[in-house]
Amino acid sequence: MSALTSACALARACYGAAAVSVAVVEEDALHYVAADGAGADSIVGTRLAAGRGIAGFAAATGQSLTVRDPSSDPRFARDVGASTGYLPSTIQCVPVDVHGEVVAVISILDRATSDERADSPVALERLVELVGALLASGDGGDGVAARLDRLEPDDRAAAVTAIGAILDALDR
Amino acid sequence: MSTEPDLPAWAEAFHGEGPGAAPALRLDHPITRAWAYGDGSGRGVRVAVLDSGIDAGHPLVGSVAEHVAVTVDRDAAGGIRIETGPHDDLYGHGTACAAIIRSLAPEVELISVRVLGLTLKGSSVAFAGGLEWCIEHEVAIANLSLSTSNPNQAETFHRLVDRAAFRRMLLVSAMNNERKLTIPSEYAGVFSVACGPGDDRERFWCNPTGPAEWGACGLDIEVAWNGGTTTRASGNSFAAPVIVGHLARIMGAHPGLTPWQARTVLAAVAANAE
Repeated sequence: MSALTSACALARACYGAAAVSVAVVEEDALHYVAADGAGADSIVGTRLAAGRGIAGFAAATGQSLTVRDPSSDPRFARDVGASTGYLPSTIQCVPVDVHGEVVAVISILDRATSDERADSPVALERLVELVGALLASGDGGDGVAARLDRLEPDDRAAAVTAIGAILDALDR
Repeated sequence: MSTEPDLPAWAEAFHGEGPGAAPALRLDHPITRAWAYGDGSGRGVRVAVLDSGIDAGHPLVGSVAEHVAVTVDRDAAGGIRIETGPHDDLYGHGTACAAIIRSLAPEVELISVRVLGLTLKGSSVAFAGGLEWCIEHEVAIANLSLSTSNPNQAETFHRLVDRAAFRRMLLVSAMNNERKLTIPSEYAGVFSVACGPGDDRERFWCNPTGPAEWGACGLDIEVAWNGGTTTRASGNSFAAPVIVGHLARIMGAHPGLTPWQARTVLAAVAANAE
């Protein structure tokens, strides 16, 4: 289990949520790299194109948003809910900033209300800091190897050559 | 005021003991809502929503006078491309804000300034470009239910906020829902807004100590959404357009007020005015 997945599991327990996921921000898509709870196996690896979904809004704007009954948005249902087999009643999407740039979005599905929780949860800001620190440290499950894997073969070979040259230069 | 669970950041100023009294003018003839709002229609006031677009076909929006889409284009002059003509709402968020404004000031001229595109990077550049477009196109009030945390944009937005103020353009900016740097909502030159209690759009609060200067409903409220639907949502995003609606009434009744005059009138008719 990656550190990010562990963070999702801890957050899910803390907030009494059905699921918690982390998606990293790419140029034109959100890439779900870690999740825990309902639909977790299906959502990890999914790419959600920009211009879609409540998580996409949080990524594009840096503004968190909580929506009840997100399935009333037909595009949400098609893009996310249908792919995971789990349609939440409430979704809270929170952007993660590193040095002023949104690098990921945390999605919390069906978070328990304060009446249903036994204890006060850890402030959401602490979870955002933890995920941001994990991503900044390269322990986010989307490191160099994963990014290389997504390249076309020729591009991957060129990138590997370039990285090798940089490492050689650092060794000298 | 009641205590609400799981408040967005900054909203606590309007809950619990509340913000205290709004600044008092001690005039011989107090400013009343009847004087401040006139007929309350907001007729002719040009109100821009800088957001994800507006669905002009949504029954709660009514009509959209102009559509402008601002996107990042590194090959274009200034790094942005501006296109006019009808567009969709990418996320539903802009439609939600527009419908709230329309519900309070039914005769405003709504302008959709879409600053979010099909890329997730560089949106703060498009945001700044959209704000500049508003300054140059006679917009009276701009709803900014989005912000940036990018410190590199601080100076750009400082200059834009100042330009807007001296052009008598009112900027209404939602505080971020998390306690982090948000630009330009923490600037003194904007009307910064966080969630107040309840769901009555006629009630709003003035918090003279800021940085969340105004409070209005935005917790678990029904809002317009994509595809002609509605949904229930929470966030300071939905409190900002409530303040825009009240300002549109004021500017419709008293065109040409400066932002400082409008701020004084708004405080005088707040729920916590003495």
